[in-house]
Amino acid sequence: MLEVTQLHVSYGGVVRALQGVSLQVPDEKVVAVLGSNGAGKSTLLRTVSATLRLHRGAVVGGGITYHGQSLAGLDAARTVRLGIVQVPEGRRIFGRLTVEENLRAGGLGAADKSARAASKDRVFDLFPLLAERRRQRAALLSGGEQQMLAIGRALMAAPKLIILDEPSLGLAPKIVGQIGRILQAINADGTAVLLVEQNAVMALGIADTAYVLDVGRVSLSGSAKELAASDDVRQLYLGHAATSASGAPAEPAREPSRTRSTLSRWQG
Amino acid sequence: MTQFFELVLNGLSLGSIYALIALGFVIVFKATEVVNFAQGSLLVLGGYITTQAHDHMPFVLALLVGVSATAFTALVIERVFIHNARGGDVNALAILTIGIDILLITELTRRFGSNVLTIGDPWGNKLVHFAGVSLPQSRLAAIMVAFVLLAAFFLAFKFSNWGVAMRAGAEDGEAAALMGIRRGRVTATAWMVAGALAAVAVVFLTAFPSPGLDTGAREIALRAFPAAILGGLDSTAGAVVGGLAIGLAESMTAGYSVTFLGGSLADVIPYLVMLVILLVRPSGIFGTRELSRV
Repeated sequence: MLEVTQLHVSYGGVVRALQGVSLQVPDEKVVAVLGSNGAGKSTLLRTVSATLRLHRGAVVGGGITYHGQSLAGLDAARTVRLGIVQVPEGRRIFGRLTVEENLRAGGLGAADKSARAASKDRVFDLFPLLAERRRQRAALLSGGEQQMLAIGRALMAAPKLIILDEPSLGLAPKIVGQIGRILQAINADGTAVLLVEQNAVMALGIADTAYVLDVGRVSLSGSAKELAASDDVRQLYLGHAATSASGAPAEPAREPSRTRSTLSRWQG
Repeated sequence: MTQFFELVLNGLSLGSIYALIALGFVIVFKATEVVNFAQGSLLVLGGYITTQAHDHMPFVLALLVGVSATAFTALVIERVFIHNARGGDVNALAILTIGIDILLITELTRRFGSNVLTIGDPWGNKLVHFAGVSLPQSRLAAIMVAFVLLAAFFLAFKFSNWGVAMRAGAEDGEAAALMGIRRGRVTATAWMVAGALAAVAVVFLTAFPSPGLDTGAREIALRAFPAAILGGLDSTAGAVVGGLAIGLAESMTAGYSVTFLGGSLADVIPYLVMLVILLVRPSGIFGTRELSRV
């Protein structure tokens, strides 16, 4: 449904953030994009959701199509009305608004205004806790609850493609697992998911296909299973250090280690 | 004691007018982060258009023309200067509004000449008497009209889609854009509402017992500025509280003829109150101090 072709993006005409990135999100699938800080993940998402201009970035080559229609020149509101909704990095919930008002704000961009009530029921179904705290100021929610709210807010626009920018950022492993299950549930309802993550364990656990972004280029791509088994990804993102000096292949581990996963990368 | 009650009522009346103007500052600031220094001359423009229209039609229609024209002017300023420069430095934009203010007031001064225009409000110089207190009708009307407008605004701000979009956009513009909220519409309506409020406020600012409308109304309107600041520039409730506080302080000091710095204390009291409150609460009474939990 979403097709990114040879995308080149630069900031201020100087910094090349993306240099020929191509990827596809098929209907009703989950696609993960992995990459470290500065790999261009956020730039890719800004381009899809048309907020690049807010950051003084511009597409200098290639393009993005959605169901065959070019997204070039659309503003953020139009993109949302097409059914592409992004959950921003760092949650960015409206802290001074109540939980319910946050959800309402999320529904303002919906193409089908009459479906708002149904969207709200669905969100409260997925996140019963939000229903309990609907009158509370969003700033008073915990980090995990805020992430739930950010996802719920995006669902209010009834997206056909939901994009998440590092939903696991700064959250406890248990909560990250919960978010993974919620994303699977959302996907099971027919919504395609584009998941950008540093936490490769969770991302590869739920994705169908995955791409690895490295300094503005796609360095690896394939099915999530293949990538999870590849040495490069294991070394870089799953925390299985290969015997580095000799370059010998790592011992295949039975299951990805959760405790050691991305801790060393947070210092960034 | 009678004098005290009269002064309180006068102060509340003046304060509710300041509240309308201060709310204009606050809405514009919340929506665009720009301090609109042109609010004072927009107010004079609104009054001028109302007086001109009043030559041809009844007062209520003339006021409607004045309010619409001022809202439209504010919209033009927002579209041409503020919206086009979005992403630019908000301080530069605030100074830009000073430029607009000077241009606008210069043209209005030329048109006014040395005339003092009467706004033509229906209350004239009639007084209301009750319980030994007498008050100009226009002052009473000011309180009532301001109350209705403020109530309508706060209901819309709290419960309408426009209000939710406005508050969401004020808090995090990019996140609001990602939700598909059209920021441009929110900021445009914010400027229009501010212009309309100024055009209503000018009626009561220049009605009896004030001598009438001349360009001096701009300076009086700018006293709503300390009102907005002391309430907290990003707080709508603060605008109302600040407006009332300034109105009461001004009415009291004028009524008891307190002198200060060789003149009437009433002329400077808005700024004195602002300074004292900012000493205690640097972001104003209701101004935002970051509230977050990680």
